[in-house]
Amino acid sequence: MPETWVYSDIVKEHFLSPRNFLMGDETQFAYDAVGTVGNPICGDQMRMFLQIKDNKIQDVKWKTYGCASAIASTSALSELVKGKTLNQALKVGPEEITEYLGGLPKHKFHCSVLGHEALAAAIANYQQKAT
Amino acid sequence: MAQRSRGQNGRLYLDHAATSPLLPEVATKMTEVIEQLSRGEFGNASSLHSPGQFANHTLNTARKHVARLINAEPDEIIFTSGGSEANNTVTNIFAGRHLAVSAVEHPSLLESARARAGGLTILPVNRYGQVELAAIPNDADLVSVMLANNELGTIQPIAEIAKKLQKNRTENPQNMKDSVASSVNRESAMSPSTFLHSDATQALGKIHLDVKALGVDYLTLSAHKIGGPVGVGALYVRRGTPFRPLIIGGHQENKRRAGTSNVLLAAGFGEAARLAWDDWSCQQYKKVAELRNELVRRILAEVPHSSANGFVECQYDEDARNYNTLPNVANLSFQAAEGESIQLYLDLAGIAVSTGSACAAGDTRPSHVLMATSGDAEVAHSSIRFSLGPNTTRADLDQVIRVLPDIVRKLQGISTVKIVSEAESSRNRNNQCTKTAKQDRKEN
Repeated sequence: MPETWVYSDIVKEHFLSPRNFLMGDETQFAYDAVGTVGNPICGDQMRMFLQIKDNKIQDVKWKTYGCASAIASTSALSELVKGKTLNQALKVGPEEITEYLGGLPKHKFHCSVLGHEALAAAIANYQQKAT
Repeated sequence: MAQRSRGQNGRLYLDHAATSPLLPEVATKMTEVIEQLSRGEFGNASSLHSPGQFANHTLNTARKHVARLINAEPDEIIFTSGGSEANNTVTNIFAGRHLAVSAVEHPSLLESARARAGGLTILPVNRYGQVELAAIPNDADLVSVMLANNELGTIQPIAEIAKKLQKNRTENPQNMKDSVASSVNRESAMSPSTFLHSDATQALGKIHLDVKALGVDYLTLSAHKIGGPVGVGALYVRRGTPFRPLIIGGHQENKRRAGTSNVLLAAGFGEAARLAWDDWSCQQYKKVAELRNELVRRILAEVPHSSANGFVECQYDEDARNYNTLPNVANLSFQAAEGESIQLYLDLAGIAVSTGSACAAGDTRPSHVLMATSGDAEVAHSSIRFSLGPNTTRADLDQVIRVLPDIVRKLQGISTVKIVSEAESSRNRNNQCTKTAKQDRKEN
């Protein structure tokens, strides 16, 4: 049978071996900020945890309830923003996430939107705390 | 029967309710017909010349096999392009009328009923997915309740529904014409009657099926769920019941379905029906039911925070000669783990199953069946349907149990959703996935 998986090879890779996920208890990661978007009753929810130093994302972890492309989107995003300044990270939009993943089906594009929004929510959470 | 649960590439197929592998005998039969077609032995089945009559003979042999399987007469069988067309044909007969349909019908019935009904009553179901008899109105022109549900497997009390309707029914006179007029004339009839349709797409070949014992007026059938080809189905129309063709412009199928007869697909359906009939002596699905029950038991025991949707156990009632739920379908939910992800991890482990949730385009609708039975969108989004075939083995179940617990544990581990005990389970949760819900950034 020819290889005919539903998503791109990169999505498959990130789904099979997600990067930077937070397994189990959230408190085991000493995060400075957290942001959650989505709702399980809608089928997906994402939460980004950030360790921030000197306005830079030192480390990032995430949790996701959702489909393969939702998991792959948060995994890809975590790789994309690690080490970036908060302003640089905010500029990582849904298009960049999708491109990094080698494309998402049209009806799954919202997964990359959710990822971007979760990160933005975490950064907003940090800035709120700072003021 | 040589139907395989495992492809030659070693993949395990547990999605027979979606479509079943073409039976080797059916493939042989269809190859034979293709060869006859390519030799020019077949004409148009409507033609009076010999090649035409040869095609017509093949078509009608298939019709007899399909009719026998459900204890109908051959002239009560109309070949269609599949179950969806058969369902659409029925709702079209009753366009503008009062339809009462169950909340868990297949979309081809539910949506076509919504589009065509004059008045529509959606019949609620209990937590197993069964329609309550008391909910069925007395004044409907058509009641449509599927025989077995495609997502849960739950079998509906069709014979009881028929008895209830029979009480209000005046038998149609023998001379009632099979035409639009008959359905229109009923409006002025002295005593109104309610007709009964049942979609038996999933039930065919799995359970004993007898249209006379069931008391249905219309029955939807599909070939590809019983090892026949995709693209052909049938509608049983009891003699003397109203009819109006969906596709007009030809006299095929006794003027009930226009379009050149698809002899090749009908022959495949007929062969699959013949095999299903022969197999009743083997009672192979009783063995399948045992495996289905074992699968559910083992998943509940070995996969954390799992629960069964519909009936936990498939039971056979010897007296009634019937099951409570299909012997080959099991539907389970896994708290905090999303269905599509479970499905795709299983796929990467070589196991094909199906999910009740289709996550799409920001307008993510959970299964209408699980919403009707559980009322809980999370349960619906976290569900998986396993549907076994006649050749599924215990070794196949072992393969599922080897990988499923770790898959679910991993997804639960990275999930934002907190696992709650059955008792805490939020009964009062807002289940509407609205714009507000989507934008809700609060911890859930």
